[in-house]
Amino acid sequence: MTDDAYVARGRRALVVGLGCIDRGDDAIGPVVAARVDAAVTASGLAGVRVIVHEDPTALVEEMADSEVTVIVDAMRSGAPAGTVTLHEAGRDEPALSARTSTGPAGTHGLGLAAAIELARALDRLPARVVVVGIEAVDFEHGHALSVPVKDAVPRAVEAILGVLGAGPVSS
Amino acid sequence: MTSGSQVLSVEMLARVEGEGGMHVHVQDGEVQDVELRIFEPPRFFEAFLRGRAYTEPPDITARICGICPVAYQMSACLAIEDACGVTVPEEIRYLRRLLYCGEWIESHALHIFFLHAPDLLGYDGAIEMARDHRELVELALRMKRAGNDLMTAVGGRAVHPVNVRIGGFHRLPSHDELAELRPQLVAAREEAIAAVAIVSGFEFPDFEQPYLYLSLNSENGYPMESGSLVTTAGLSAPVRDFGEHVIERHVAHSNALHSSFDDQIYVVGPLARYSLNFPALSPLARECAEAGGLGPTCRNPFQSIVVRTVELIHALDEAIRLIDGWHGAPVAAVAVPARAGVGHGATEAPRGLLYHRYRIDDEGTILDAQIVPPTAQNQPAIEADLKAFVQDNLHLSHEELTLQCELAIRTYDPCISCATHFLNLEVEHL
Repeated sequence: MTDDAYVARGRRALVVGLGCIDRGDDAIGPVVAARVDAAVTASGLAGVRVIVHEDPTALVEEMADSEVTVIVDAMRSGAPAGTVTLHEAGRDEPALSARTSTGPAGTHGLGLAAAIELARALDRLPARVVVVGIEAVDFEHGHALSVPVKDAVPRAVEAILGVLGAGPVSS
Repeated sequence: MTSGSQVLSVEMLARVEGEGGMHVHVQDGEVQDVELRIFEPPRFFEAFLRGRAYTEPPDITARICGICPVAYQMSACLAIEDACGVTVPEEIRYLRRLLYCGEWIESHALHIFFLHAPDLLGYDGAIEMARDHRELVELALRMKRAGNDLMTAVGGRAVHPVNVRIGGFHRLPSHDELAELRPQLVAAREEAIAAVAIVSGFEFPDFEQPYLYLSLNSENGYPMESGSLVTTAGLSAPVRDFGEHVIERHVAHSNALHSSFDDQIYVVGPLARYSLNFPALSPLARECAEAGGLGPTCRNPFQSIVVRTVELIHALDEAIRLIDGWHGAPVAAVAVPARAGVGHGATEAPRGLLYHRYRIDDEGTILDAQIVPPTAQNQPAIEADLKAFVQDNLHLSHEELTLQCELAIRTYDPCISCATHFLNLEVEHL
């Protein structure tokens, strides 16, 4: 499916860059989201909203109006640094907690997986949710992106644009 | 480990963000030490601010916490304006208070219903609670939305508001923009009033803290965006005296600095604020406090959920009052020319008093910065609470004791590491 076909179907898509720009590789979500935003604007692709957030709890409401949500975040799974992984987590997918831990949520809010599962429990999860995880290594305050994570940016952007152009047809 | 000793270590506290951990050392049935390991972002930001322009702290320090950016912005503004000898006009203070209401509403709703209520109802978290008490979670989301929308209207956006500057705001909201929020806030207030009956019906452990309480006290009502220092020991002092009473010291087990007030353990946050400012609550909030079984003071940290609900009602009530009274201002901001000096600022973040101090030169370059967040101030009290609590509950299983300790820690709503989110992924190969 091309971008034109995507737009023709009038789908509403949300891209969320999750993370803190001051904490090393945790900035990867916002960095990739900014690149996606620029690419979407340049291509004239309609119906795509790109936001940056630090609080996954906000996603419960932010996702509700979209048909496709793509969340890009730093990840730790033991894979080599910079590995880009896509996880389908939409309405008809198995609960994330069955496949992953829910992550260390805070006393302030929920972790990403918990926010997705809360949206599922409240029937607010979009038909398609894709979590784009980028394997990270350094979360120190004040550090820049590590080299392997920085090198992963183009691959993550390409993966997200692919999702936006090839989402399932809404009925 | 010596004979007769036992070590309980919880490396990663569930639902505590970042890298928190707890270590308890028990010797012959006696709790010897409790260490809560937390890692605080303000240390990095203090260093980062040195050499920056005096206009930058509101934007830079807002990045310390994704949940309470307004608190950091407000304390930073007050401290810089104090250093420069500027007092903002009443209309600016008024709007700052309204912005702060939005943050309190959002933060308290989240903590009450997503984090504390599941503990007290016996659920692992909000997801599990949502299956049986969907209406509570929906209610929390509506309240959070009300707070978000208020922060967006006044602050420009809900996360890291961009409309705040030294001396005031970049742009003033119109009366009509704010009036649009009124129905949503009134509905949220009604729901918060109804929630008092729910949260006050929980069973709370019988536990009282003996510590000194510290909060702001303000002639403008229940303390939020300004005030002077007051304690349960009867002290009343201007914010610039904070450093004469509060000493921060390094401890080996945590990168957070531990604070003491006149060499005593002390507590900041909802319980301190409530106990030192009960008469300043709105009549409706006081009425709800009484309906929820609270007296004019509260020293049981487990009841903080009731106090937060009362403060939530107050914040909603106050937001409505402020919106009704908003008639604009002659200017969005006043000039704050740089001058060499030291400035102090303190406001009441949802989780407690937040103090900033800056020293700037005559060109406005920041020479040094000090940020004392609520969590650092409460950490010795949390550890002391845990020591007593664990001692009284050593008969519990490791799992149950861990759960109870987590619950005790969460009552303080500590900001352990505000802004790191990553998915801990476990891939199962079939």
